[in-house]
Amino acid sequence: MDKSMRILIVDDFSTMRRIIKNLLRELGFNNTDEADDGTTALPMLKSGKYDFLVTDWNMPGMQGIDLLKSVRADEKLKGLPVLMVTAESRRDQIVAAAEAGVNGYIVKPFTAETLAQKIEKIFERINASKT
Amino acid sequence: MFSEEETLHTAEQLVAAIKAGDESVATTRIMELVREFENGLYQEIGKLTRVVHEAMKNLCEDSGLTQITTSHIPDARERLDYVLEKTADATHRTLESVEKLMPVSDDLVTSARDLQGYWGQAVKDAGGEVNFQELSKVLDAHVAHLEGQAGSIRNGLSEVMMAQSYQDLTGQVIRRTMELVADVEDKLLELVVTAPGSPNTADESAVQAPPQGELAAPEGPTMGKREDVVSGQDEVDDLLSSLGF
Repeated sequence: MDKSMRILIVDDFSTMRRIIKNLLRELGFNNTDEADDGTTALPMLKSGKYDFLVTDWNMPGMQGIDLLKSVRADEKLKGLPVLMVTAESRRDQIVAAAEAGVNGYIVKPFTAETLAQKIEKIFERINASKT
Repeated sequence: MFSEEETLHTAEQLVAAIKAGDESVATTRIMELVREFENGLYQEIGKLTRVVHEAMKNLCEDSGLTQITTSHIPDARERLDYVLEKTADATHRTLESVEKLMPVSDDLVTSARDLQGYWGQAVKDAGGEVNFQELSKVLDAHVAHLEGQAGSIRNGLSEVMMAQSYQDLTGQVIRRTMELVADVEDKLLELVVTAPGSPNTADESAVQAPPQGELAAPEGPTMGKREDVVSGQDEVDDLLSSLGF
C-alpha cells in the first residue's frame, strides 16, 4: 500500500473530516483533501488524481451513495476504491452500497483499528486482483 | 320548554302573588322561572361543547397534529435523549483521558528533575570525573521511561480525538429534530390560521413511502432496537461477507 497516495475525505461535518484526517495521518497517510458533500467532491475527483475516496452517506447536496454511483459511472473514476464511513446502518442501505460497488463500509461510531483494518483489506484485495 | 305565553303567564302570577303578599306562591313562581332559564342555558352549553369538540377533532386530524403528538414528538424526545447520552459519554471519555494524562505530565517533570539531580550529584561525587557505565544505565532507564510515558500520552490524545466523533452523530440527530420543530411550527401556524373555520386543509403530514425499488431517505444514527438496522461493525461485516465481500 502506497502511503503517499492521495485521499479525498467527504463528510458534511468538519469535526468528522478532521478526525478521519488525523486517523489517516496516524496510519501514515499525509496526502489528504476534504470536501463537504458529493457536489463539491465530484469535480475534485474528476480534476485531481485521487487514489482513494472516503465518504459519508448522509449529506446535504449530493449524498454519498450518489457520489459512489457517479464515480462508478465515470469512465476515468470507476476503478477508484471507495470506503463508506457513515451512521447509516439499515441493512437495505448496506446492501445498496455493496450493489453500487463500495469497497468497504464502516458504521459510526467506529474505532481507529476498524479504519486501519478496512483500508488494509481494501488494498490487499486490489493488489491481489492485479497480480 | 315554556312558550312565551306560558312565561308571561307565570310572570303575571308572580306579580299577583307579590301584590297579594302570598310569599310561598311567589317563591314557587320564581323557582319555575329560574328552572326554565337554567334548562335553556344547559342546552346551549351542550350544543356549544359539541361544536367545539368537533372543531378540535377536525383540526387535529386535518393538520396532522395527531401524528405529531403521538409519534413525532416522542421520537424527538428519544433523539434528544440520545444527544444527551452521547455528549455525556464524550465528555466522560475526554475527562478520563485528561485525568490520566495530568499525572503523566507531572511524572515527566519529576523524572527530568531526578535525572538532573543524579547528574549534579555524580559530577560532584566524581570531582569532575564521570562513571560512563553507570550514566549510560541511568540514561537508558530514563529514555525507556520517557518512551512509555509518551506512549500513554499518545493513546490518551487519540482517545480524546475519537471522543469528538460525538459531534457528527449528535449533529445529525439535532438537525433532524430541528426539521421536526419546523414542521410542528408550520402545523401550529396552519392551525391558528384555519381555526375559525374551513376544516378541510390538505394533509401533507402523511409519510411518503419511497417508490418501489428505491431506498428510503438516510436517517442518521438510529435509536432503540430495530430489526432493519445492524447493531455494529461486526454485523456490517457479516452482512457484506454474506454478499460475497
